[in-house]
Formats: sequence, C-alpha cells, structure tokens
Amino acid sequence: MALGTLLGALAAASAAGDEDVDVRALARVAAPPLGLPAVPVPADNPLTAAKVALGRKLFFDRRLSHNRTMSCAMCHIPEQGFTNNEVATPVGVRGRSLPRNAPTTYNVAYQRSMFHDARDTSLENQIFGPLLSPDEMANPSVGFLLETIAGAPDYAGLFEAAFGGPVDVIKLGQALASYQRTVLSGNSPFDRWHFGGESDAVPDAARRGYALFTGKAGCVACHALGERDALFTDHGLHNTGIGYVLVAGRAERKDAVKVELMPGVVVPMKLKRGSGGGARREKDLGRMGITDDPRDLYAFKTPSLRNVALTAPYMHDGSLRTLADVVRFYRDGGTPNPALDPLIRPLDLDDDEVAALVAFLESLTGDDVDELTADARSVAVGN
Amino acid sequence: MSAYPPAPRTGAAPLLVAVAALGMALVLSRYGAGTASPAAAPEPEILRAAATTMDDGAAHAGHHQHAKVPKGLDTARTKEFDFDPPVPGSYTLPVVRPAADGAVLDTRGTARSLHDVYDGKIVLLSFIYTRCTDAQGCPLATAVLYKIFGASKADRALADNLRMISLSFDPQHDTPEVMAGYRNGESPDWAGGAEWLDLTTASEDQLRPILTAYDQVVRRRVDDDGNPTDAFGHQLRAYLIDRHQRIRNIYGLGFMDPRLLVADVHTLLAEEQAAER
Amino acid sequence: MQNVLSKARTTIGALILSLVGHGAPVVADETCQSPYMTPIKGQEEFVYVWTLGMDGVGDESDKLVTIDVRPDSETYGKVISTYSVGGQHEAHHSGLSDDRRTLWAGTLDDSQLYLFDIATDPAKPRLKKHITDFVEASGGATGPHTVFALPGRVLITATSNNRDHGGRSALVEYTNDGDYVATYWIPTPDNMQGATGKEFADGYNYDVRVLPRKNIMLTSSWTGWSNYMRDSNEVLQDAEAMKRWGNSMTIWNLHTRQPLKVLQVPGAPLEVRWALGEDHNYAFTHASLTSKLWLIYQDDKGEWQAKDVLTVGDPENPTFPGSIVITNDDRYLWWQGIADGTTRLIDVSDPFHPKEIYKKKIGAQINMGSSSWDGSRIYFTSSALSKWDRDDEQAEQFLRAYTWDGKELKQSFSVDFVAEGLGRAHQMRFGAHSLYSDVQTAQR
Repeated sequence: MALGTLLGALAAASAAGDEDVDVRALARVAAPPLGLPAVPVPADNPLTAAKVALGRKLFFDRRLSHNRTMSCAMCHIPEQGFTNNEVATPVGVRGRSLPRNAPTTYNVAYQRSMFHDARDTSLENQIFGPLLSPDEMANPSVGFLLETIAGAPDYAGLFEAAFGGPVDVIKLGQALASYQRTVLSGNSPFDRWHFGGESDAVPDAARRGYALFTGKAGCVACHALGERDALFTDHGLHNTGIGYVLVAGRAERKDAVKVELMPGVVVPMKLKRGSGGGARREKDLGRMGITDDPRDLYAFKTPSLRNVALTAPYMHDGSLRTLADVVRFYRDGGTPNPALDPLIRPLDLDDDEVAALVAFLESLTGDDVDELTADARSVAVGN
Repeated sequence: MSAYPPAPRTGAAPLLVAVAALGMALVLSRYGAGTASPAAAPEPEILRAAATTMDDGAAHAGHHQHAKVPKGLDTARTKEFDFDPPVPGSYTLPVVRPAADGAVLDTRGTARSLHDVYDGKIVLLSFIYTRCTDAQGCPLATAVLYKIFGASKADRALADNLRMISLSFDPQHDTPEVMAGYRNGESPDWAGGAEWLDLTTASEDQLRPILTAYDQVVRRRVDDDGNPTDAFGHQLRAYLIDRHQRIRNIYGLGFMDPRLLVADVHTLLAEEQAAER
Repeated sequence: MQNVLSKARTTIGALILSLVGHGAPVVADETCQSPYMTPIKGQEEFVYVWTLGMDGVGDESDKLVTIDVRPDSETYGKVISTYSVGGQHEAHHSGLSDDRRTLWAGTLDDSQLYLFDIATDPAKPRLKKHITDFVEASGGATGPHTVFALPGRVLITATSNNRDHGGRSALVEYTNDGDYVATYWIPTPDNMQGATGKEFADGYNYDVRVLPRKNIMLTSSWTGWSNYMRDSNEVLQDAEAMKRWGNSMTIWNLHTRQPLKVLQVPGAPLEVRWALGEDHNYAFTHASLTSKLWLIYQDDKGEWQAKDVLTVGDPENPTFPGSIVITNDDRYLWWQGIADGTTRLIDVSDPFHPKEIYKKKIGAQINMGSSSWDGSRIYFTSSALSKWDRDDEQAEQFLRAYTWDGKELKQSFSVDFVAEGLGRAHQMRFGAHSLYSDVQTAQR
C-alpha cells in the first residue's frame, strides 16, 4: 500500500508538473552539471521536451518486450545506479541469461560507441539491440514492436506531437535516445573540489587517491580527465584479463561449485548439465567477437567512472563486487594472459593507498542522483 | 411455549424449534451471549435472551448466569476470537464491489428495492433461511446481528447510521409472513437500536440475480434418492455496505465476531467524518 | 402421520448433514487449505495439476491437467482432461476460492491469472476468465503465487515487482469474480508501515496462511523474478544474486491487513502451515536453502517468535525442500526434497523437538506433495521451476500417487508427464463432485 501510495503521489506530481520535469531535463543538457562537457546532440535529433517525455515513457514500458515483462529499466534501474545491483549479469526475457553486466546509463550521452564491445555507433541505433535480441526483450520483429506501440491507447498522438508523424524505427530510436541523453550526473564532490575550487569538498583520502590515480597507479591512462571536465574514459578498449579469468575459471569447473546459501553457510552444489536458456557465460571474446581480429581478444570498453560507487557489481561481467576488489585487481596487475594490455601491470600500492583510491572513486558521485531518480519515476511503469 | 415472541403465524415453528434447540443454543453458548441454559430453554426464551442480554435486560430474561451484562458490546476475548479488535478508523476497508440492487419483499409483503431499503444507511446484509439448522450457518449470523443490535442500543452512532438486513434465500418457504415471525421484528422490544429488516423475495426468479450479484452460492440439498429437501448448502456470508452502496467487507466463518463488524461500521463512519473535514 | 415422521427424519438428517458439512473455522490438500473453504474429507476424485509447458514435449504450453483418482473408475490413475493455455508463462501455483467453484492458476513470469470453472464439470475444468492486467491493477506487483481463499475473496501473494524484478512485493486481493480489490506491500526497512523488526525486513513474499482465532496472518519470503526465472547454474555462481533470498516472515493483523512484526527466518522460508488443533497456536515453515524446519509460535508473553527446530538431512547436502504437508492431527509433517527426490515424515507432535521418522525416495526430484484429509493418500509431483529442474539422464517429470498406512508409502500409480506429452508437473489441487452435487439455486 505504501509503495502504491508513493507511486500514486509521484504520478500525481508528474501529471501536475510533467512539463517541469522535462524542462529541467532540457536544462541539464543545455548547461551540464559541473565537471561534464557539452552534450553532443545529433543534428538530426534535436532535443525537445516532447521527445524526452516520450522517450522516458518508452524506457519504462514493459510492454516493449515480447511478453510485456521487460522494459529498458528492468536492467537499468534508477534506484540501482541505472544498472542492476542485484545480479552480476542481468536476466532477459523469460529468465534468459545474459553474458555481460548491464552498463549504467548515467552520462551515456557522452559515449562514442555502445555496448561493452563498442559494436554500435549511437544511442539512436543501439536500442534495437536489446529490443530485438531473443535473450533480452525478444520482440519477434520490428513490425511487432511498432504495432505494440501504435496499438497502445496511451501512445495515441504522442509520436505525432513529438515528431510530426506516427511511430517508426527512426522516431523510436530518437525518442529513447533523447530521454537517455538527459540522464546527466555531475557536480560531484570531486568536481566541486577539482573544477570548482572548493578546497573542502572532498576528504583528504580522496585527494590522496586522486594523486595516486593520476600518479603512480596510472589509472588515468585509460580513465582520462580533461582540463575543464572529465569523463574518466579514453573511449578505447583494453584487455585487463577479466575475460580470460572467465574462460580459465570455467575450464576448471567441475560438477559442483561452492555456494553461499546464506551468510556464513557455504556448501558445494551440483550444477545442471545444460543451460536454462539464453547465452551461456562459458566464453566471451570481447571486441574480437565483433572484429575477428586476434589483437582484440578479451578487449572491453573503458567505462566512465562517474557514479561508480552506485553501479556495483563491476567489470564487464559483474565479477567484482566492490570498488576495493577492483582496485586490488589492478594492483595485482590484472590477470596475465597473452594479450594483456601493456598498461596493465602490477602496482606498488599498500592497503592505505587502496583505500585512498576507493575514497577518490566514491567522491565521483553526482549531486543530482535523487533528482534523476525522481525524473525517472515521474512516469508510470507500462504494465 | 411462552408468550414472547408470539408463535409464528405459519410454518416456521418446527424450524425455529430446531434452530433454538440445536442451533441458537450452540451458537449463543459458543459466542458467550446466551444467558439461558441451552438444553432446557424453550425457543422463545432463547431468542429473547439473545435480544435482551445486549440490552442490560437479563433481569427480565428469566435465566441469567451473569447478573448484569454490560450495556453495549461485550468486548471480551473469546476462545473463537482470542484477540482485541482493531481500533476503528486505524485501518481502511477497500471497496470490494458495488452492492447490487434487487427486488425484495418486506414483512408486510410490500415490494421494495434493495437500494431503497438501504436508504443511505450503512448496511449489514445477511443472507439466511429461517429453517437453517446449521449451528455454523444462519443462526450464527442472526446471533451476531442480535449482538450488534444490542450494541446499537447503547451506541447512538450505530443506532442512527446502521441498518441490518436478514434476507432469505428460500422464498418458497420464507414468505413475508414467515419472515415477520422470524424474530418478531415489529415487537416494541426492537425499538431504540439500529433498524433491522427481515426481507424475502417473491420468487426464485427474483432471488437469483441477487444471489449472483452478491456471489452467494446456495444449493438446495437433496436426499439419498435425489429429491430436494428443505435444507440448503451455503457458505455463510454477511456483507458490509457503505452509504454509497458499495460492498466494503465480506464476512464468513471465522470473521463473524460482532466486535469486528462494529469496528468496521465505525471505521466507515470515521472515514465519512474525515471526508467532511 | 407418515409425512410428519418423514419430514422429521429429513430435518434431523439435514441437521446432521449440515453439521458435518460446515466444520469449525479451522478445517482444511486438504489439510493445508484455507480454513474458509470446505475440505474434501472423503475420497478426492480428481487431482488438478498446474503444469509447465516444456520444450519438445506436446504443445510445449502451460496447461491444467486433470487426473482421475476415483478408485472404482475405469480411468483411475489416468489423465482425463487437459486445458492448454498456450505458451510458457512459468505456471507455478494454483488455489481455490472459498466456495471451491474456481481454481485460480497463476504464472510467475508474465503474471497471468487463469480462472478455471471446476464446479460445472469437476472432471473437465474450463477456463472462464483470463486476467492479463494483474500488474497494472495491483500497482506493480508481479509473479502471482499463492491464491488463498477469504470469504468471497482471494488473497494472492505476488513475488516480484515491475520496478526492478527483485524480491520486494505485495499481497493482492481480488473478488471471487476476478475483480481487483486492494494491494498490501510487504514492509521494507524504509517503510515498515508501523511494524516492528526493521532489521529483518526485506519486503519479500511467497506464501500466506491465517490463524483466524488470533486474527493473525503470516507471510513468508522467497526471491525475485531475477532469481527464480534464471538458470540455476547462473544464480548459484552469482554471489550478488545469492544475497537476494528472503530472510524474513511477516506477522499481520488479518482483519486490517496491517503488518505487525517482521521475524528473522533466513534461507528462503517458503510454505506456511498452521497447526490445525484449536489450542495449537503455531505454524511451520521450511527454509528451502538451508533445509531447516522453522517453528513460528507465541511465547509466554504472547509475542510471536521464530525458532529453527530441526535441520533435515545432511547440512552439507541440503534437501532443498519444495513443500511441506501437515497431517490433520498436527502430529506429522511430510517434507519434500527437491534435491534428493525424497519425502520425509517428521514427527512434530512436540513442535519444539521434531524428529525425522521415515523417508522414501519418490523420484529423481520432487517438489510438491498433497495429502488427502485423512492422510491415507498422498500425491507427489516433480517440477520445481523450469530453469531449476534437473536435466541429466535421470531427469523425469511425473505425478506419483501413494497410500500411507502409518508405516509405509506404497505407490498406487504414476503418470509420466513427458511420455504423456504434458510437461513439468508442479502444483496439485483436489476436486470432487460431492462439493457441488446439490441443486444449484444460483449460478455464477
């Protein structure tokens, strides 16, 4: 009842202040929070309030899947860092297994390529991957998807108002991209200290962590910063060995694995023979799966580190649970393998320095997280 | 037989005897209302006891184990209802569904509509048949209404705002005359509390849509040879209906605690007051 | 004169009949059903099996399978009716309305509710209503599981939600006609709704049962869609996912549907079974991950408490109990192990000191057990969840019927659900003509 009441209140607020939400979203893009660069917006898809509102509605609409159970937001959950904190790898339609962790949609506007293997080129195009993948939202065809939207009474006139015509693939991609482009999060304690000159915005540990990050730990080589803003990514792909761990681990797999059934209770559990559907996480070649180029083996895209404290678990397969685990992974030089990126090497970091790096990473959480969640929940979930 | 209430004018007597001797007695002792000694008491005494215990009238009921029964509602726990009732207004009652209209007859044989009988009151509607001999069936429902009536004699809000209805699903036998004798509802003893009406219908055809609308399944029992008997199989049901003619609760066995029903009525009254503010 | 005598006999006969027909409020699969429902105390005639569609088997669709269990019937032990609903929706549990006219069958994946008329012809259930808007109507609850009868209504436990597919969920109330009434969310740490036990609250939900004389309702906790729909190999190897199992039970005010207290019961406590005795104010549940039997009871001060009273089987090799069945005298409890395919009889006559006294392997895997009122017949089915069922060369799908003579389970018949082209056999409900044999005055 309480959640229902809350939903009701939000829906009411939205009905009353719908335009406010969209106006604020547009304002975020026009003047991004401190620490973020200007937002690239395609010339053929200028942002409008109507498109943002429509895109938000689509993003949270579970009817956009074959059996009306999966929306974009079932894996990109606003309260869970626009990813899913509760699983290492997300679960697609009818429970199908997916091989990779759901990347956050915070600040996705700045991504130059889409997916962990960089296989798509724009937000506008990217959405058709999940919409049509049989393991994700499983729409059996483009026509089925468009008919679902066109046939829903609550979409009547919305595409016409936003785009001047009925729903089609172009408009669908543009609407979803428009909403996602507004999910900008910055003005973090780090930003206020580093870019804003507020000397006490971050704790000492975070400042020491920043020195390590840009100094002897060398993180900045891939998680790059600019003079006036920082996305903490080089937009490149690297082999850190995480992909290799998976293969190596599975090679040693026996019939049983150790499972923590409840805190402190670990027992060996027998595994089934087959898979219950969906992709099996037996092997993931990374970028090489797209290019067939052996030099791309186990290469995955460098993610932004903004709001990283909210987006656990980590790495492309969600295999590391905490930021400390991630820092220790890099301290230990990743996982050696023939194609390991030369930038990944053992680091001389003591436990204090690991903690300082974690403190730095924790200072990257934007100050508008609650606002973005409220913005997201201003629309009713479709089914 | 004693003089009160007067013997039913037709038909109901054997059933009332059965109800009294085996139904009401069980029920009343189970629910702590009976001051009469069940086995010895003739039927009218039991009905009278049921009505009067609530009215602090045990003194003239003839039999009384409790010297003085408190006026109003007995709030004590019982074995069947071993808990304290909820505080009225501390919870909400969702709307279950609209309470349907239907064509009924009052005890004078006048054709009425259910909505007309509801008359903008909060209503407790109980489906019964007078020949019911099931201790966990109609006699229980009627005994609970007796207790609520007793409560209403000491509770102005109940007396003013509540209307109770016993509606028969045996129109063939339960004519308006029989219903008039069911608890002798026109007797002056029934003054000063919530109004209580005993209704029936003109025919099975009039009855059927009402039962369907209220989701009250009733089956006439058959004997070993497949011939219909006087008995019905039915799920005990009573309904709480608000002033806007919406069902707000459905009671069955296990919920037929007068304290719960009274708390629900007061919860609706509290809801109305809150809405006015 | 003869007429009068005859009438008197009829009246007395009817009286006896009706006294038998309506038991005290606590009567109840038959021992585990809603107390507001008439139990079948004699011979059940039909077993309705809510069956999951299975790839490569028959029409691959979820279906309601009716098996004839009338001992003198020519089709005893045979499938006499199937009703396919089309497609795979993760069929799981079903429940009966208080008048037993309707069997509600829910689906965990896409939240469908199929209402079958089992009164018009108990041998041949027919779909009379298909509810597709459970999620929208309930305000976001998904994965309907238990359907529990209240007078004129049903209370449905949902197991997940449409915001994150996690375990936070709600109880949802419907009329017997299939109209939505209300939603009650399970308390969470950030919204306890007045209940105590914040440190244990997780908002999860699985089963519901009530103790009317105490005005108490008790719910248990499982996990969300992301775990129960997912391949078990994936879940078991996902440390994040393994943190998302229910560790709580919630005590509610039955009448007001307000939560009172959250109890700590780790390991995904599933089925709730109140003792039936009129002085027995306690319930059992089985923690499915840890194979522990838990007792929920009122302490000397009247406070509700939970205590683990028995670890069943080898703790290093959990049985993963899928269901428990209590006998009508509260002395015994049948415990069905998914992992070992074994049913165990546990003596619970001293509820604080139960002990296992008998066990029998039923098949490669069992999940549900359903007993006749008198405990002399018990039926077992095989399937747990479509993506958790074992898939090795021993894998099988079945309903197996047994008799129990107090010493030994003896198989009466077995139906091979793969050979018969049916699918994964999950949950059972009983039917009988005797429930509806009289003349109908009003039809729904």
